Amino acid sequence: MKTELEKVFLIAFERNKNRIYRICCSYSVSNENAQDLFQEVLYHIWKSLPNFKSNSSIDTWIYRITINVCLRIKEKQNKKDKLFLSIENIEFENFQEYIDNNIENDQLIHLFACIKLLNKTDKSIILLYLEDLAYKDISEITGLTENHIAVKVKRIKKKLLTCLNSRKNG
Amino acid sequence: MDNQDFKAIWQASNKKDLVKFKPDKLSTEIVSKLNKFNKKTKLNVYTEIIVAILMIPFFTYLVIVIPFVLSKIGAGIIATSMFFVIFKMTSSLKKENESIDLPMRDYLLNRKQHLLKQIRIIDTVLYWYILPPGIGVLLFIIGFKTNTLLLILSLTISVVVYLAIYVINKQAVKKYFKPLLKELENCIDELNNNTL
Repeated sequence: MKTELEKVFLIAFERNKNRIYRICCSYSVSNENAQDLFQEVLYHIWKSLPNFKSNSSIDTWIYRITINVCLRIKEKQNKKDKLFLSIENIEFENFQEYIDNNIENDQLIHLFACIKLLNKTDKSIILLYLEDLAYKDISEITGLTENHIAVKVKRIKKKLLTCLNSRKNG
Repeated sequence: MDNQDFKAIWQASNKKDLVKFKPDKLSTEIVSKLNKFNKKTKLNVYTEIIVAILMIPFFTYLVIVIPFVLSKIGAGIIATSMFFVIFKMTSSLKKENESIDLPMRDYLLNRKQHLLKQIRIIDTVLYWYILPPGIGVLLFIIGFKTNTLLLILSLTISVVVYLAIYVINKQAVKKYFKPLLKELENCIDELNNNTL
């Protein structure tokens, strides 16, 4: 029997699943790794549901957990911890393959590669920005001020541009 | 390339469903797997503590029944040190204040504090996990006044086991926890860096 909160969560998760998966892919070294990470995000969100306070947006709350879980993936890899569960009822598209084979514009392939080169925190900020979240939401997710976010986005875009240009020229 | 270009490029990957699931089946599966996982985790976490708890009445009993004074003292030290081991272990296992839904900056700071605490506990393993029961075990063995060869063999085994525990823990701090702490500190520094 699902609670009201679980129903709300499932709707929100369905709405954000592709964005969450893309974020996971950007933090992962392989497709399998991205799928594990996505499942781990799902697990943490589900586990934390009772702590959710309805005065904040569930989407913002989901992204907070997504980013925090992505930030700790290295710990898991270092510890050689096997990710705890494999959920059978989810089908994943291989994101790297998808952009390699289906996207005509190869700028996305380069952009994805350049994002992967960013440091962890820059990566999280630019991914939230690219997923079209407002500065206010990014600020709530990261704990930084909107001004700080704006400065960081500007700096990260500069880095991405340099990376894209070097890939094009190289 | 302007602001919108980056977003437009990225959003081009948004045309297809990358993840598919049936919400009803998914929630049933998560609940079932989470329950199994929680049971397994609890069992792993508490096994060592339960062993320590069981050792208290066992060694207390030995204090009463063993006739050798040194062995009595050794058994007493082991039983007493187990209280401290249990206390230390339960405090190290206390959840890190379930912080996964904090804003990223607070989460990183929280992780750092937790990691520092873990490093402190493991770094001092000699004083709370090795020396007290180790001394107890040595006295316990010596007290039996068994033949010299057996005594040397028992003492050697005890020393090797305790030395191994010490080295493994020190290595864990050096090879795993310290690099992780450095990485966390780098993340926090990068996040706080406000310069263009």
